[in-house]
Amino acid sequence: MGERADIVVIGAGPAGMAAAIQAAAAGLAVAVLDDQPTPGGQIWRNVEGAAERGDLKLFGKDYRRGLASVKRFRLARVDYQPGARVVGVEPDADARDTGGDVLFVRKGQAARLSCKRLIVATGAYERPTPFPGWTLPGVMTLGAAQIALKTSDLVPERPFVIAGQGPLLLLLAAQLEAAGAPPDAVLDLSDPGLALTAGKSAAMAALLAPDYLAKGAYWLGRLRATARNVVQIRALGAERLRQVEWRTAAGAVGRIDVRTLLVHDGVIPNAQLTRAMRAPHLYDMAADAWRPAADRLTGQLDDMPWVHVAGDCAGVAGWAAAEALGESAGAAAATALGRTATPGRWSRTRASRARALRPFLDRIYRPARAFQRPDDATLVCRCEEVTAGAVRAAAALGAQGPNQLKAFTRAGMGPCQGRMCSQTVAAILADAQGRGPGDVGLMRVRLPISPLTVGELAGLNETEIKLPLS
Amino acid sequence: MLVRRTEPPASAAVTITVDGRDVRARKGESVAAAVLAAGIVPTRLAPVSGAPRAPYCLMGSCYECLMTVDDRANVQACMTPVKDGMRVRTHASRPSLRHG
Amino acid sequence: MTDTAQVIVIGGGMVGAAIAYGLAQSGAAVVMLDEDDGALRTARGNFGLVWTQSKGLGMQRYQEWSRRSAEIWGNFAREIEASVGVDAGHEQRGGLMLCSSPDEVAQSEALIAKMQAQAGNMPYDVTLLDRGELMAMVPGVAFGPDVVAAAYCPHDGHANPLKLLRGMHAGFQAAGGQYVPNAGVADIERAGAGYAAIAKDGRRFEAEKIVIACGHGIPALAAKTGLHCPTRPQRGQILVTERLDPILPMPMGSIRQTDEGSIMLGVSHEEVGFNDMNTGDVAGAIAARAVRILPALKTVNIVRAWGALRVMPPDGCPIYDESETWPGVFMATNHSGVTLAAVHARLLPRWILEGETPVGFEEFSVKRFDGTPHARPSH
Ligand SMILES: Cc1cc2nc3c(=O)[nH]c(=O)nc-3n(C[C@H](O)[C@H](O)[C@H](O)COP(=O)(O)OP(=O)(O)OC[C@H]3O[C@@H](n4cnc5c(N)ncnc54)[C@H](O)[C@@H]3O)c2cc1C
Ligand code: FES
Repeated sequence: MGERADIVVIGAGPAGMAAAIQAAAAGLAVAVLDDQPTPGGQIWRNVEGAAERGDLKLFGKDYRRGLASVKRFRLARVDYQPGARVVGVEPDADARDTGGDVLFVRKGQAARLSCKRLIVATGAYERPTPFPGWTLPGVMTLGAAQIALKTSDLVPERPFVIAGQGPLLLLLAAQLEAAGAPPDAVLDLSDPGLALTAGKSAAMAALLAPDYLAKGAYWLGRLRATARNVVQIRALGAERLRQVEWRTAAGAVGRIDVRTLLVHDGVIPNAQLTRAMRAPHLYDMAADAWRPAADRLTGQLDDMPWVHVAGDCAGVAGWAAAEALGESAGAAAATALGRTATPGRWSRTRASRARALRPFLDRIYRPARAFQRPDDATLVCRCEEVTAGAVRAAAALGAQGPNQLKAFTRAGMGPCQGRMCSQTVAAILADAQGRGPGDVGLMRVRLPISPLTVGELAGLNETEIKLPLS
Repeated sequence: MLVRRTEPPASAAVTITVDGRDVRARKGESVAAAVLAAGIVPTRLAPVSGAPRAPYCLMGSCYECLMTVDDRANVQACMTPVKDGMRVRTHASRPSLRHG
Repeated sequence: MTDTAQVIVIGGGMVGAAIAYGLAQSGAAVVMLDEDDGALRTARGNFGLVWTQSKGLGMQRYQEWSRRSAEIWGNFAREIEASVGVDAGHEQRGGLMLCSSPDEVAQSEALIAKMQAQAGNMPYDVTLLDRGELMAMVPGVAFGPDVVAAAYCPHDGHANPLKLLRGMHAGFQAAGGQYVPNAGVADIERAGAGYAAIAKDGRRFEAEKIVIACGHGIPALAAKTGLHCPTRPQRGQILVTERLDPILPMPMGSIRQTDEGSIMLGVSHEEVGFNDMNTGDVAGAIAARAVRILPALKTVNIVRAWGALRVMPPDGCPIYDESETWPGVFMATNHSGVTLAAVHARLLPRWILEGETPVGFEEFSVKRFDGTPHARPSH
């Protein structure tokens, strides 16, 4: 038996912090486990540090707001454990609804934390973007560049290009511009019909960065001037990236000399934990992503009532919705444990307002086709270096589904455990079998959802458990 | 691929060694960010083909940033904050069970 | 589809695929029906040993069957590689069972003595090495101080079970076999002079003969065809590390290095019914044991772990039988599908097609359990 808490929250982003603040205010013992060194999650990453170095203005009003949320979180009576990576969750043995254990690694030691209610607020990660050359040093995700700017005041080495699609593309271009490092080109991989338009930019700006919008249309106009609508990209180079090659729908081809290429294709829920718990998940066709089957307001899992999901891991809807839904999940969990909780009245409204935008966003920000159907030579699984062609060949053997494909090709068997390839593998299989991705499913995720060392794991059991030999 | 916009002031800086060379890093940043800022790429060779690789997502999903940190092989450098005196080796070799 | 094949093999796992592969190689027209992707698949969850030293205590025939398979395995693997280019990663450099306590040494000595006593004219080739002899046999490996001895058997080895599975599937299809995934069989009926397998979605497949080789699905189908199959699920959990430099020259029972370089750590024996989740406590225990045996593993990353359900007969030995009331309906099961893949592919087709069996094969009949109370709760 390890430690105990009434409620464990996994993730200290907008959702997790809000949930923890609610539950703690209701008088419960709350522990928050997060794998980053400081609170804030993706959006408010290192907001305290950026404030200290006087750089808040670079990122806009939404980032600045995070400082207040993080301060409230710091003041709340919660047992906050930074640098703690959760690797699995185990429900109590016989009854599914009494609680369970959270297994995590912190400071080189695996440990258990028992709780009666669990709130999973693990956020989202960027949709994988397989294209020729995407493994070359010099190619990074857009999110990586944003993280580097927030935590380290680093900017991409020029000349650099941003490629892909999604609202973050424009936001980051603007943030980098504000940081004095505007992209040398933007390659817009949206479907030609959905290419960058004034309306799209404005919708994005209104959603993500109202203050930028208020400052005028300068950067939007500038971006439109540098952006080119293309349908394919390739990264070229031997030891590192040297050039990006693009191709338009009309067949025009061009090359740009670059030092850095940032790619992005939207974000998808980080549902590794709930998938490892084998909670049922739903395929959201518009978002082309899977999310746990849960109550849309309290985040309570349909199948495991002691677990709630909140924020982007429950379905990507942005930080404002994440904070509101975190609050409502925290309140619901506290109520279930017999406490009175009073979520802010605005939280429901904010959540539904943010949610309401989602279908619109999904419509204008469809995943880029260039990344959906990689050609045979393109690596799909970066870890085990499996090409799309190898996956197709295995699919042709009649593999019943993604788990058999994984067994046949090793795609998904490396340290990232399929985070970078399972969507693509499923899409290729769906194509080969004429089924929908929702029907094909994803390869299974198991505990531990992230690697840990044999020594760390060996310390998990406080008393020795005998293994029968055979 | 990433360069410093501003150098950290002395009060916010730590020094680590990367492949034996002193590298100044900003307190609170990850080992992966510090290594990239020092212009060190590739940081490893892919285990099957030996192709060059470097940190890719900086948020813990892709596992391209594996490095040897204080003698521990294959540490996820983007999730490891820098500490003064930390010894980092890129091109992390496979850990060995051999003795001697 | 209602085309009549010669043989339907139900099950596309290690046992079904080996038999189907062998049948197709012998020129039979074979259809292999397989379940969907979520099915319990021992074929994807096993440890990959081609192992003889612990096999057949109390049933010498099984020891001999395992030895026979180990003997022809290399040749079988080469045949697969030659036909479809998949290298099953087979190695036969011997195998060690490490003893890390005086108790384990005593157990090992007792096993060797009993096996030697039951061995007829096929000597049981297992020697107990002391620590010094062990270190000399696998130079450079830094064992923990608890490792005091090891049982060594020259016939043992290992393979890459996933490549084997893929190779057999590819080879089966290359030899003209027809593979039908997502066709879990719900029922078997008589149809003219032969039989029909009815898939859960209603599809119907007919053949002269049917081989039921679908692991945990066998008991239900056996019961419909005048057979019975007293197997139960037994969970085993396995951990796999990142790739390391090649260091372990041969498998060591519950620790082996794969052809890719990763180290597999196993393996538990748990009676938990049809629950194939893996758990922290057992994973922790496997890791703790591994660190005692090879302390340098401490800083090595585990990248994957899983639980899988063995198909376990009451006495641990294989079951092969043909129905008396439904002649032409066969069943085949055991929990060492990797070790036995070679004999399954090479020897069972003759039994199924021509009724020709190896000496003493009838000992594997399910009748051996008649009159013994072997029923176990399945949950
Ligand atoms: C790379 C990236 C960049 C983005 N940039 C912007 C932007 O500029 N503007 C904007 O409006 N939106 C942006 N978004 C979206 C925005 O980040 C989210 O809408 C918002 O952060 C959601 O809040 P959350 O609390 O649900 O998740 P998050 O803020 O992501 O918080 C989840 C937390 O859980 C932690 N965690 C995850 N798994 C584990 C585990 N197993 N163990 C322990 N801890 C774990 C994570 O490290 C993180 O701290 C971005 C998203 C991504 C992925
Ligand atoms: S850079 Fe992707 S996990 Fe570290």
